[in-house]
Amino acid sequence: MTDAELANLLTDCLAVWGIPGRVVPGESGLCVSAGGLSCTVGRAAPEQRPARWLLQTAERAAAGRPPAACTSITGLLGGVRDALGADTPGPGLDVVEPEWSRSP
Amino acid sequence: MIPVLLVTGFLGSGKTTLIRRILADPAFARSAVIVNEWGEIGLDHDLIASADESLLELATGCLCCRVSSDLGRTFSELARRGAGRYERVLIETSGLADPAPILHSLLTDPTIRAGHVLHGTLTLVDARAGEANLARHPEARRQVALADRLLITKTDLAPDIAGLDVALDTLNPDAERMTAVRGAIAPAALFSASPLPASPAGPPVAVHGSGITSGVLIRERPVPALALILLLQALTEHCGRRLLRVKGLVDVVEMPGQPALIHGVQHVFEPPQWLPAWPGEDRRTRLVFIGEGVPRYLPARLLAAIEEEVVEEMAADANVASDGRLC
Repeated sequence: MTDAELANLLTDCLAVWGIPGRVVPGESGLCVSAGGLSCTVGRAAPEQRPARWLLQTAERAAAGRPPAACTSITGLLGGVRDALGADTPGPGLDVVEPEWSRSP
Repeated sequence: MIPVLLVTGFLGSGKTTLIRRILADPAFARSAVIVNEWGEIGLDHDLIASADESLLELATGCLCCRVSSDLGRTFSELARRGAGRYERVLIETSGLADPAPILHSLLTDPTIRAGHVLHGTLTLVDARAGEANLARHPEARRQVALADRLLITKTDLAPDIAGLDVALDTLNPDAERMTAVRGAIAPAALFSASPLPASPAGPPVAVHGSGITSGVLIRERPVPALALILLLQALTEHCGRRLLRVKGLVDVVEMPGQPALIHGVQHVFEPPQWLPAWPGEDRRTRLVFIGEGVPRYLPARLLAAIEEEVVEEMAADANVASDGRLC
């Protein structure tokens, strides 16, 4: 996934979270900002597996803490959403119980 | 399992007329009708001349969170009083109803699902007033967006429906479209199997201004099952109520030649239905997403990102297994 593709995905997410914002390249990754809050998304080095993504927030930086490690893109998006103070997440996937499992 | 057809449509679109015509057909007389009216005094149920063998129930509260328990109780009562007396259920929503909570109940309420199965959603659209209704009323747009079939009524009063067709194309291009005058349509056509998603003829379409967007995700290569599940999880989590409907066929890596039929309303999904074979020559994954304010390329971008990670993990697992065998 290129930085441009990641930026497009993050921009789409800002729209669906309903928080106008922007995604711009920064020194240590993509800087995502919205509503006066911001965070930076970077890539983990191969030797840092299973971490794939690094998420730095202003709070963590102020406390001198390293970026949070995320093992997947879905985890990263949840972290960005929380960092930007977007609304609480949706209910998540609810799969209806299949008929065969309800048989006596 | 007794099929349930949800009949919806904006005020004055002809829902009651259609149901009266269905019940007048001897082959469809053994139908139970649930009228889901808005307001304290229901009128539509008085207007439905039910056949002798038909059952009529009234449920209210369609526009509030009580819909689930109300509908569950109605079905319980229907099953208790009408066991063996009806072969199908028609639910007529109020003209201002959002079908989504009703569909949720039909898909998830164990009382309802004990003996009934959702057959589909039929949305009636008035040929004369439909275009204006869609432009002005979000309820009308949601009713169209959630439809499996669209029945355009009153075409005798407004034969030129080109503008309406364009509006419907942008809201729900995937739904089968039929026309009827004063409810005159063979009921069997409404109870036939729901059409499978067609091969898209063009690029994804979107509606600007109405807030409802429709997009088609097309993939040439099979999708790992895990990537599909993670995609649906992520979409429901991040889109929340903005996601209205997902329907389509997916070519899953683990099930070659047997496409998965995916059907979801907001965050509630039926278990994938594995078809024995592809219904046509087009064997590509094609998923239709309809939502409110959902960027049209978000599903495709999300799937690409998820799939990249899943494929990498699968390859890593394969390498570990291979190394293990070598040892």
